[in-house]
Order: sequence, then structure tokens, then C-alpha cells
Amino acid sequence: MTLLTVAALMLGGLQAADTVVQARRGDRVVIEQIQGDLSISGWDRDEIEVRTSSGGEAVTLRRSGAEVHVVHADGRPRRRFVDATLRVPRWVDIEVGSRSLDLSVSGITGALRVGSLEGDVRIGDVGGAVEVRTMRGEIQVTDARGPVRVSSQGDDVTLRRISGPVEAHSGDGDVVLDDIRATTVRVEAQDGDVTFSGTIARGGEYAFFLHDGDATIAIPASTSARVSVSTFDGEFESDFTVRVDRFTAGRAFDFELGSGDARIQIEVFDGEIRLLQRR
Amino acid sequence: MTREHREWTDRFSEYLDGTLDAHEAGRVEAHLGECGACREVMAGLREVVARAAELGEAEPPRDLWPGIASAIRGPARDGGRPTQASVIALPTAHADGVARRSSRVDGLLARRSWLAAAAAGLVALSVGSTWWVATSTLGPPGGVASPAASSADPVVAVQSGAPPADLAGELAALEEVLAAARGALDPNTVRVLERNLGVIEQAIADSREALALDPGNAFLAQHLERMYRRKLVYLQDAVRVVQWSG
Repeated sequence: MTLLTVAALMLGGLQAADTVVQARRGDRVVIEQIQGDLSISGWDRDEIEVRTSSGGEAVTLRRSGAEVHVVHADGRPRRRFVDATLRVPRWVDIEVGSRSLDLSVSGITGALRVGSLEGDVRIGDVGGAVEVRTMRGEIQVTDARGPVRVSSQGDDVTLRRISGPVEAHSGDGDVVLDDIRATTVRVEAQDGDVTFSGTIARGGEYAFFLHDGDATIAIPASTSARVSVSTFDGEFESDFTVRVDRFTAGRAFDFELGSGDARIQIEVFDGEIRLLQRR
Repeated sequence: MTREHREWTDRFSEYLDGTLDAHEAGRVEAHLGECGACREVMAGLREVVARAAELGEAEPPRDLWPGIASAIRGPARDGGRPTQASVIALPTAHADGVARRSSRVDGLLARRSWLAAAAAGLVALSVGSTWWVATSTLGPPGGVASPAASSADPVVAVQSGAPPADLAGELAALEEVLAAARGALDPNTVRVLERNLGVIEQAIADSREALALDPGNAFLAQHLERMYRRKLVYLQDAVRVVQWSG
């Protein structure tokens, strides 16, 4: 190792005991029993590299068939918290399962699946399918081109600039969907507000189900959609001129915007419904 | 709780089980001497152990695994998709059955292992080979379920306020596993799980109360059904957490 390399490692705060594994098409990266901070980014090499910060537990890579596992270097799970950086080929699929992990992922086009008890998950610039489920932790996904399915039981969910199909859920937190260009959207929230701002595609389907919270749906003035609204205990406000075609129950009714090409369904048990024109 | 605290509390079970070496055990004790929050967590964990001890020595009522394994081996798939309606017949263990397994501190880890196995079986049965499959609550990927599609027979079933018939068995089985696992989980995990479950239970209670006042309200029936389906997904996720904690 040259003095220059040593100096670079010291400056970067990284240990020298890092691992590089050659990646093959079809490989999958599996991360389990790792707790702490983990940053994953895609690069243009067909290599998987892990680096551990000097303050955290050392981790290494272990190949098992077509799976490359990120594991504790000493082979003992869950001993200490990890602070690591993982670089992977953009095309690789990644699966993460952890009790407690703050995770950031960027620049990949493979599929990404994340599950955790707690910890924040931040994902950006991804091209493949994204699935995230956490019991407690915020989820943020930005600039995703594939399908996005996320659920946080206890915190907020924020999605920005998503063009693939969206399914989002929060048990106890707000759901914010901003600049959404998906043709299908399904959102659920038990105790929190839902805000949607995006386009409505012809033939698209958009559904919002809330228990206790307000739904604010901002769509273009030119939207062509059939809209179904249902609420048990709440008010309905609209920037659009609404001519109710059909009352299906006490506070449930349908109406059409334009020629009704898309379908929008908004159901709120206890909360306000606002249908706004997107500026 | 900060990350530093979590790093310590994650090792308390090992400490109580006596599996830490002397140096590590000494570090835990030193930290407990300095940190009131962690002392509180440790006290809670000791209480769990003490309660288990009061229940005396006994083996678990029955081994859960054979029933789970045979159910998994059965035809649980339909066209490659998981069969949600498949419900295993769990042994009629009481929720505290696990606590009866052993009064020894070192039984904690052993309990975890078979609970994790039970949890693994339920997850496998409920959602196929992976827990990342589409759920009935979130609907099929890329699609939005129509009210008609999601509100056929189950709506009739929930008009009484009870869970839909196709969910009731699985809900009960999952709840039983989680109740049994509770004593073996670390206090932080229990808090997270119970808090989240409380949100869903409150939503179900709200919906049931409203439906009781207006039994013919189709919106309320559909809403209640959705809450039950959400609870099912939650319990499936929670059982997965038991595996991570095992």
C-alpha cells in the first residue's frame, strides 16, 4: 500500500479492511443482521465494494452462489452498530432486512427491497422496483422511474418525482406525494394527512383511503376523470366546478371532470377532502 | 432512544443470558452504572425474566413447528401467488404458553428460536416464500382495486363488526404468535409493535362504533374491512420482526 493510499484512507476515515467482490449479471446483494448506518450507491463497475468507517463494526462481503452477503467481519451478528458504504453495479438487485438501520440508496436500476423494524430510509435516482416496509422510520423516495411500494407503520412517507405505479401507506404519519406522474396510485393512511400533487393520466387510476386525516389532492385544471368521494365525518371542498351525478350514500357521491377518462377515488372516515387545481 | 442506547440495549439479552464474555459483561455493567435510560430498560427486561421464573419449569404446550411445516408443504399457492385464505391450525397454546417453557434466564434465547420458527412458518404460509408479495390491502402491483372488487362478501361479513371470514383465522393465529413472542422480545421492539398496533386497533374501534350506529352504511362496512386487512398486513410484518429479533 502506498503512502498516498494510506493518506487517502485516513482522510476518508475508512478502514483498510474493506472488501471488493466481482459482480456477475444476475447477482443479488443481501444485507441482513446489520444495524447502524448504511449508504448504498450504484457505480459503473461490475464490482461490489464495502467500506467501513473507522468508528463502526467491520463488515465484509461473502458470496453464496448468486448472492453476495454483507456480513459482520467477525461472523457474529448484531454486536455493534455499523457505519458503512456499499458501492454496487447499478443493475444489481438489493435486499435489506434489519432491526435498526438508517439506509440511503441512490443510483441503481436493479430492484430494491427493504424491511426494518426502525430506521429512516432515503432512496433517490432509482430505475427499478422499490419496496420498503418499516415499523418505525421515515421513508423518502425521490426520482424513481419504476414501481414504488412503501409502508411505514409509524412515520411519514414522502415520494417525489415518481413516474412508476405508486402504493404508499403510513399507519401513523403523513403521506406526501409530490410531482407524481404515475398512471396508478394507491395511498392509505390510518392516522395522518395525505397530500397528492401530480398529473392524472388518461385511463389512470388513483385511490386515496384515509381513516383519520385530511386528503388534499392537487391535480391539473385540465384533468379528465370520474371522481368518487366518500366521507363519514368530514367536509368536501373543491376548486373544480362539481356537478354531482349520483349520491351513493349520505356523504358519498360521484362526479365527472372533463370527459371522465381517469378514475379518482377518495375515501375519508374522519377528515376533510380538498380537491385543488394544481398551479 | 438514541443509537448509542440501542446499541447497548440490544446486548442486554445476551448479558442476562450470560453469553457475553467477562470483558463485554463488564462494559455493559459500567454503562448501566452511568445511564439511567438503559437501567430502566434493563429493569424491564429483568421483570420479564422474573415473571417467566414465577411460572415455573415446563415445556411448551406443543411444538408449533410440525403443524406449520405440514401446512407450508401443502398446496399454498395458486398460480404462483400466495394463497391468503390458507390458515394453519395452530395448537391451542395460551398466549403465555411461551413463558411457561422455562424459568431460567438462559431460556430466553431458546424461546426465541422456536418462536422465530413459528413466526417464519406463518410468514411463509401467509405471504409465500417472501414477505414482499402484494397484499390484499395494497392491492395488486400497478393496479387500484375497485370498490366492487374489494367489497363483495367480506362487506356482508363485517357489517356485524367482526373480521371478514377469510381473515379471521389468520388474524387470530398471527395474534397468538405475537402474544407468545412478546416476553422474549426486547422492550423497545415491544413498544414499537404495540404502539403501531394501537393505531390500527383504534381505527377498527372507530369504524365498528360508527357501523354499529349505522349498520346499513356500505361505506363504513368497506372501511372497516379495509382496516382489518390493514391489520393483517401489519401482523404479518410484525411476525417478520419477531424473526429479526430471534
